[in-house]
Amino acid sequence: MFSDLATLTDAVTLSVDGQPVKARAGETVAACLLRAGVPYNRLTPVSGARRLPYCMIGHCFECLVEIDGIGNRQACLTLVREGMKVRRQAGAPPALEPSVP
Amino acid sequence: MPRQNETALIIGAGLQGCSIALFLARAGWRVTLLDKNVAGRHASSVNAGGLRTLMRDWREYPLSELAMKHWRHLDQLVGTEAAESCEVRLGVGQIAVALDQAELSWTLGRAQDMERRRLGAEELLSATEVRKMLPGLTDQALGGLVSRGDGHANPAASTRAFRQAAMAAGAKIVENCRVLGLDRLPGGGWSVTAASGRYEAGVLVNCAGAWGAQVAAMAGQTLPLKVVAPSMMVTARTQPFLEPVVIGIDRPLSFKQSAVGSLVIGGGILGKPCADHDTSFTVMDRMPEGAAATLEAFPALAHVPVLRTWTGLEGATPDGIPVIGPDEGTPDLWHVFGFCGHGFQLSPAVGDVVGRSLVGGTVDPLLAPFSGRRFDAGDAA
Amino acid sequence: MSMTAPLPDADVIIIGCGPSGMAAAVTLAEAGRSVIVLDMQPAPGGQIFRSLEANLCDTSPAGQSLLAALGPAYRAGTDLIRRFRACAEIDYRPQTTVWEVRPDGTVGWLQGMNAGYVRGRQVLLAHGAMERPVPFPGWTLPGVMTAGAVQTLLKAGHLKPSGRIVLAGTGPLLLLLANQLHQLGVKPALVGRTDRLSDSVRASRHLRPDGLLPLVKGLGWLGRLKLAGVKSVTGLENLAAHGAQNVESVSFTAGGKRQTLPCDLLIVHDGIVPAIDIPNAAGLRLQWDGPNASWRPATTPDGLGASTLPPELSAGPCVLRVTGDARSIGGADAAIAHGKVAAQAILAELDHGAGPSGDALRAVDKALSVRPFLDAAFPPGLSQNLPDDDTIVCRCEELTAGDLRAKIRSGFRNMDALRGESRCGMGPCQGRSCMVTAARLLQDETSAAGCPPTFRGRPPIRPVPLGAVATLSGLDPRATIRLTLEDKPENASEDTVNAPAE
Repeated sequence: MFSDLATLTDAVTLSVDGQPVKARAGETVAACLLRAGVPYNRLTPVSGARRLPYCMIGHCFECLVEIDGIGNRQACLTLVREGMKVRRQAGAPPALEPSVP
Repeated sequence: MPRQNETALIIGAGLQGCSIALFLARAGWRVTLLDKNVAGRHASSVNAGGLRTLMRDWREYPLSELAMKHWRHLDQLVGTEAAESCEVRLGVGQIAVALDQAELSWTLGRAQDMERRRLGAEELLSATEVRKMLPGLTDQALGGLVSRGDGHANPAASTRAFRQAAMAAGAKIVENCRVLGLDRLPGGGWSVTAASGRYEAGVLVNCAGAWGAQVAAMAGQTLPLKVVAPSMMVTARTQPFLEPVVIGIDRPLSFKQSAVGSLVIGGGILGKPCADHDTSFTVMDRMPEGAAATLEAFPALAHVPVLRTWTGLEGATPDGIPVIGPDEGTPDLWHVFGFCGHGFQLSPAVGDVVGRSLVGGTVDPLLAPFSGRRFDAGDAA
Repeated sequence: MSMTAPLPDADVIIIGCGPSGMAAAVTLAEAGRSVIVLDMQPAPGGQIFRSLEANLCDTSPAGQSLLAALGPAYRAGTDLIRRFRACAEIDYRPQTTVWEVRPDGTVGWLQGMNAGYVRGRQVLLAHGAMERPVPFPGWTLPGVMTAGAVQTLLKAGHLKPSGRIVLAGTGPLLLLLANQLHQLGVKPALVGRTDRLSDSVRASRHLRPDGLLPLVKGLGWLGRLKLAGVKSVTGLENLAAHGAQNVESVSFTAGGKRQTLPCDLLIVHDGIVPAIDIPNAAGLRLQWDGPNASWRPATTPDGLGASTLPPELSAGPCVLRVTGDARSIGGADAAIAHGKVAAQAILAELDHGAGPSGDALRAVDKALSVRPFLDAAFPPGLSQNLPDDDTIVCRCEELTAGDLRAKIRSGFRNMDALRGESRCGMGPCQGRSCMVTAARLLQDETSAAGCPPTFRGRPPIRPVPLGAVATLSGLDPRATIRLTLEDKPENASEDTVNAPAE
């Protein structure tokens, strides 16, 4: 759905659901996931429907993912960091233990 | 309305008023409820919906046990379909957790106290047992007290169910009708001047909740009541992990996981009441205490996002239990208010016992502890 | 514990670091005032100048062609951002969300896992706009995004859309984006506009000399798209996105004919509206802008808001001002002009000075003079009709218009009762996407007129982790007196067990 304007330089590496994924330094987790072509950021807790980012400016909360063990983080407002562990959400995240990738 | 026997006017169409109306109407009384707003606008609909006998004041206990019987057979009161809408979940249990030595001692004392009084179904839990029942509970927990039959229900739906049932039984509800004045009629009975006209009845029942003392004052009676605004925090949905309701002993801790997975965190933190404007405000400056108490018990919840807060208006008496009964010298004026944030569970029993007392013409012994006379000068608790 | 009011942390707190926020911050800081700027984004610029600093530093060919595609209106923010960065007096706090604002100038903030309150003697809300929510069948499918989202990905992610792309909706941003994509070598399959020629004709009576430039610009965009052979329709209606797991096709009616197109990415835009989450929760009075089907805060010309709290419940006068697109949609130039006006008004308030200059006020009027034309030329389209019963209104809780209509008909006839009963607006977005539609549905069902009611906004209006609530800093000592409802019964000692009462 999205492709790079130019080949990635100055890249950092994240783990997305355990797989290494390259990202541009300074971009958001949401942009990184769209480049990687993930089919969804989260499955809704209500019906399990797939959702990708919709507004990209922090209003719609569709881009929620788990970042470094903490669920419900807005991917469009969170900048990528080397070694960051991202997991897509399937329904509501666990209340108690941050899950370990 | 002509004044006659077996007529009642109830001021306040909240849960207590509707419950009393239901029982009276079923006994053949003509009942009219007057509400300054809409039925169930305040504490009735916006409480946490706890159905607990756990940690009840012993004076409330018999009433609370009777109420549990009604909640278990709610269909008989409000009908099958309405009862289902109330989402009554009994048997998930309510648990008081002891997080320090003082709280543990209190649970031991409580267990002995209740045994001596031959009351209740509270069981002591060891540290191991309480941690097993409450996943995520801190290793620091020393024990607890459980009432296994307790649970919760949906307060807004329950308030609606009682309102509908009362109407189906013949009670009339007049909304947006503020009471302006009360007058004793010669020979007994009351006349109520309200925004929408005058009403008369043989018996007047003051179920005005946070406004209960104001209504009493209209009849020249002074009852101590503080208007408070208990408030709650609600989190995002999380995976189900907790069935019982958890409450604190000496700390502002009370939470449950709702059916959709959000955590509903209360604990008695108070917001800012504005009874004159029919509203109240949450005060986030006070929430840290409740959040900290929750995290002290469940440290792994620190990352769960709080999405909103809410609050409602409630009346609190100086001794933590309600006023239920007629005032001295006016057996045809009953006060039923001041439930101090734990009247939701009691409501079916309140309707039952108050209804029974009015129909029978004598105050039921179950209501003896709740007389407003306990606050008379020199006799205050 | 001290019982005095907490001291202000700054003369002025500004929420939002876009054109209006930066212009105000610079004006105030240059006048020697202490300013705290809170912003959700990682760098100054707001949505329009997003990532401008970083992109200016990118000297690669791709970076240069991106700058060229984004055009002079994007680079126009360069000087303002430089001046903003140069002001050492500005305490700039990026990546900070705001979850409460009180009329007395208290602002609740969250940064990472830390949250607290800061207080300004004056507060300026410069939090900008949002794209109008457009519930249509299929709008929750992956592959449906707003034009603003795609532009954000261009500016801050250097990502361009690929595959079969359909743009649908109305407004300058839709046409601008289509042109930017074209310049980057992306050819949309269709630009479908809900507006019609008749709208433009009707709009032309609003044309003022100052409006000619934008008009010429717009005609240029249209001409270039036409030259490039981009298919376009006007008067598009009844848009729907289809697909099992993601968008596979779109359908719509145009010229009386139903059409279906294969599609990988549907970009929608129905104009922008003031974001009213903060003003609503702060208890500011809102007005309904009928032609634009949106709320906006009621303000004086220099931006002062009006608290809806009765005086006896207020801690003092309302010190909240609203500026930029958060006040009234006008674009970057108008936002900058009004940011200066609001700053001058704040300086006057702090120093008992003269207030905004005539020049500054005229600059706002000049920048806004094109709005009546634009409003008439691009009326709300995708959101014009209320959604069908099967269409999702509340994306978070997946509630349809039919769900809400049924609840309203069964007696939940005010916004808070409707929310409590249906859960509409109770999800993570806290009503941002559904509130306007729910309010319109409620008015429609109850045949009510006037300003549609909002959900009551109680703090926090953005999620705050429980751990951050537990350690909130900057609390008002007057508010934190321990006030809890004591519930624990006393245990009786053995000899008092039979006593009548404790």
